[in-house]
Amino acid sequence: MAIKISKPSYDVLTTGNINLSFNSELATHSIYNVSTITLGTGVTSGTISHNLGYPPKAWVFLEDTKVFSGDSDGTAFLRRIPCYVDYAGNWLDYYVGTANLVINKDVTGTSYTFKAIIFTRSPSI
Amino acid sequence: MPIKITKPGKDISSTTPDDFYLDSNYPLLKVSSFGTFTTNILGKVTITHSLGYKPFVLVMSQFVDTDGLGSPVKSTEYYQHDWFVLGASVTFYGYTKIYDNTIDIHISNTDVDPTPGTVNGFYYIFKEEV
Repeated sequence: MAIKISKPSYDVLTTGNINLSFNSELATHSIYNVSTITLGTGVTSGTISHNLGYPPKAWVFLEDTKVFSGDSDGTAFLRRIPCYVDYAGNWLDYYVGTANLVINKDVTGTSYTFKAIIFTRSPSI
Repeated sequence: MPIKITKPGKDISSTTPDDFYLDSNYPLLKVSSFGTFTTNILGKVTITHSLGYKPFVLVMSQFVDTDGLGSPVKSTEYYQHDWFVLGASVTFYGYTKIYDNTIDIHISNTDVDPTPGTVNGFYYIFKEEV
């Protein structure tokens, strides 16, 4: 037996999944943890352990105050990676494995801080 | 006491988070707002969320490239809006900046050329703080 919760004004017995706020037959987008890591100058890689035993879905955000040299108002913001960090095509990227999330950067002269959101979901859902 | 719903064939006592369709021990990603946007190829769209913190955000858009003759061409597909198309003479790029009460969706290029045309995209802003 499924548990379903519909959006207001939709009939839970007949409406499609797009109008359901919850359906127990569909996997939820649940968060395993959120971690912060700083890769300092001279460092090109950093590892966050999750030890889930499978490669989970993950998002990684960069904390920054500028995007490229010409776009800086000094206000802190977040930005998703993978992304480029300058016009030369230097980049920030990440990958997930069964035990770790690894963030890579191909610039050594700048320190970057990242927030990584690891979800409970594997690619098998 | 947590509420749990397992996937078919999985044991409720499992310690593997992926075995559950729902496990209240882990917070769910909840949508705060969503929508579509259109911006000029050299432009910016600001979307207000008023959450007071930097939330999870997903933005997808068409990306811009050149046809090799100086004219812009747009993808029909939508990509994560942090794209960077490195060209021989001009580089187009798009990015999203997440602030405490707004998000800014930018598109620009290294020529800072007000190229005619627009780009379409969509966004989801979630309740959860990064």
